Amino acid sequence: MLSVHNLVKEFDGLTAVSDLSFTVEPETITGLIGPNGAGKTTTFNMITGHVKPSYGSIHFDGQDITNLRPHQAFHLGIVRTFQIPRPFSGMTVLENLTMVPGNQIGENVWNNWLRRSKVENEELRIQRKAHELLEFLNLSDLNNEFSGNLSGGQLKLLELGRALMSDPKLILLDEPAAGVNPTLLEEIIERIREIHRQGVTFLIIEHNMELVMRLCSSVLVMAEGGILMEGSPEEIRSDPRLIDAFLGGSTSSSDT
Amino acid sequence: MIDILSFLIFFFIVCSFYIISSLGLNIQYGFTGMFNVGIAGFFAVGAYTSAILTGPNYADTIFGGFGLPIILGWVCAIIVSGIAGLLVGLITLKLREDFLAISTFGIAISLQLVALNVESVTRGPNGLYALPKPFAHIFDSPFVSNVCYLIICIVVITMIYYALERAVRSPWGRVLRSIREDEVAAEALGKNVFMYRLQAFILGCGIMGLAGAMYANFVRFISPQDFLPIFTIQVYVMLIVGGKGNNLGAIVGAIVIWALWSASDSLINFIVTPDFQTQAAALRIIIVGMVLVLMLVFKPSGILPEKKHVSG
Repeated sequence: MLSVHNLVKEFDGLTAVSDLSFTVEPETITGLIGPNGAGKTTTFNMITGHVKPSYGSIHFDGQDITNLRPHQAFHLGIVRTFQIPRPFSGMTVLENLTMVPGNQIGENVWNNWLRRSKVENEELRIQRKAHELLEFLNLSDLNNEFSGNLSGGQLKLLELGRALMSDPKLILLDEPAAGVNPTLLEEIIERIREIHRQGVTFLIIEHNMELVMRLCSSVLVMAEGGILMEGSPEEIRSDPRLIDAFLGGSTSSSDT
Repeated sequence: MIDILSFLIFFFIVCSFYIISSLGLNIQYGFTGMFNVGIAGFFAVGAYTSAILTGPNYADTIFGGFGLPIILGWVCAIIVSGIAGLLVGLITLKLREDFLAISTFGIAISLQLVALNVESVTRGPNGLYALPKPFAHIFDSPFVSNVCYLIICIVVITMIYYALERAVRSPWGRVLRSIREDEVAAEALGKNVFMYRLQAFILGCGIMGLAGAMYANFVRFISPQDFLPIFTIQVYVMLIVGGKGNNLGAIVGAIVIWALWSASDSLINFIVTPDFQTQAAALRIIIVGMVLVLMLVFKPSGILPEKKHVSG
């Protein structure tokens, strides 16, 4: 579904990602783990078009998406959340969701003056969907609250909700468990599972190994900009190279 | 009595040009977060467009004097300022916020200098005079024609207000606000941020251009002196004091600040001896500046803050 070939990203001489290749199979949940600075978020940014790769290519459903802008990648069915949540703070929780669906009739300013009823019908449909999702995410009590007033964990759910509004094929989650209390974590894991059952593919950056072990069918371990290893969660967990990567041993020394 | 009434009519007509400009700025700054500091420039483009199209033939210009109907001059003013907005937007809207401010400020100054120097079209500092005013040839009395003009202003403001209200409460307006709140997230959620900013910019500039055209056909004489950066600052103070992100706030702010501006003018003329009145005029800027600062400290969201967009 998603395949990345020989991806390189250099920032002013600093190599954030070097010669990265991997694939994500459809309808799987893939974990992307690795120490801070391994290049995980940069990889996300390249897939979604927020950062242009220096070299290499990215394909999604057989289509080259290497140089697409973020809004173009979105319309192909790729949607992401952010490590530090980016809510539209001055807008309500409901609006955060209703703004998402693409190609709304009312997004053309003229239609709001000339074809009002069509816009309103569509808006009702979108709002119904947003209400259903908020229900699903246990956020319905907050739908008219400014999203800027939500707690960190609620924002993670809000971002998940925004992602779901677009009926995506692939969801990239950047640390969905960061700063989330154990109860809410349980809920997030449960929601991801449910969404996955409906056929959505996930690629998840996460430091919380509990979430990775419970959700992911395969795990990619990144270190120093490249893939250190990949395999099932069980294989990864018992591999000594994982400890090395996290505890600061460089990849080359860990091979000896 | 009639004196006070005709003063009030004059006051509200001039106020209308500020109200319309403030509404135009609100769509750009209030809803989309674009810091356009070139309002005077787009106002000038509208004023000169209408003046050239509706004005008489001057002996010393090579272009103009088309004597077209005023309504056509106003429509063209919207279009030409909109196109100016498109061109300026194409080159500036990818810039970061502070650079957008500096570049639009520079463009407005340049436009003013163009008006000052392209004498064969604008007559430079001598300005364009004897511009037609609606109903002026029907009613001899300036009082009656001013009443008519005020009615036109009210109709235009009402139309703009309702059109904008509908636009900002629509999915389109929702995208604009999301861009203001977080551009990166809006783009990640599929919105072509640049295109939306451009649309909001063009719409706002077109409205500012209409304000300029209505100004030109009311005062019947325009010169580059009318389009100095102080105009831009005034409109910003009006919008911020009134409440950015609230169209009613934009209107209220324009009335309050224009009243304050006019009142401080009269007060200064009353208190200060004629010898120092020119210098004392600067006091108005200080007074209005103080109001802005006090407002920003004590009620930064304005007299009528942006409303939460709640739906069922």
